Amino acid sequence: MTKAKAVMNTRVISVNKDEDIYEAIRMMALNNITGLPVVDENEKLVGVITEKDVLALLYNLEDRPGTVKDFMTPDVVCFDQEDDLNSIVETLRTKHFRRVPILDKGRLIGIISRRDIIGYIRDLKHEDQALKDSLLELVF
Amino acid sequence: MFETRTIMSTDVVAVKRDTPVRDVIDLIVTKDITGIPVVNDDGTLAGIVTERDILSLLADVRYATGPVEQYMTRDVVAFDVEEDFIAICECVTKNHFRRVPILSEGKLVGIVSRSDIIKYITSPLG
Repeated sequence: MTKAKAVMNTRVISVNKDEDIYEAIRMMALNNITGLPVVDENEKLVGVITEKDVLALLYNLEDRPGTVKDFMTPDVVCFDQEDDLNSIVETLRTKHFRRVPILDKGRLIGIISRRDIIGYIRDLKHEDQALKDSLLELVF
Repeated sequence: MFETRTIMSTDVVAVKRDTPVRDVIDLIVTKDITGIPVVNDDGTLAGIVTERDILSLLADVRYATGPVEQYMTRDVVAFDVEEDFIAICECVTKNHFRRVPILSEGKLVGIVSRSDIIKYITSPLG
């Protein structure tokens, strides 16, 4: 069984729930990411804020200042770092979100996106090819 | 002021229907894109292939063969380049997909993603 911690990206960019919403938007745009986990002062996960959550705010052009917690999705599907990768894949395949936060004792320590999993599988495929090539060398 | 043709990305990575799905997996991972339009030989839109489509073939992805057209989503919401930009914003805000192909006379000429919209609107603030 492959565990979440083998695949997760630990360089997580998160945002505090009390941060200005426009700062979260800037963080997404600058870092080229589509969503940020939202944490409280104890690094405890309290939500996720995505491009989708903030889009309407932008093009409606109404002045609606606020903090991240006013726009975030609070009910987040997340996993523990010891969880089976297969259940994470199933979630990302069937649900509409493209990333899940990974926790250790409730504290945010990583993130796994659809991209991370596709990259992981692709690398497995390449390893397979390397194994095949080395076997061929032994045979011939 | 919001003109679709000036906001859309025109350096679109697109693939043909007979592109091997393995090449598409490489593109998704290396080019940092979440969805790739699939075009016919004449440049008209045939479908779109997304991270999610690829994840769905996960069980046998190590042996994934065949052209992308076997895996792509065919029923794609696309907009004409003359279309109102706000309509596009509403479309990617209300729906689950995060990008729409932009067509001119039926042919693929660009793409507008949620990221494109956010970058466009926030750039004067930057």
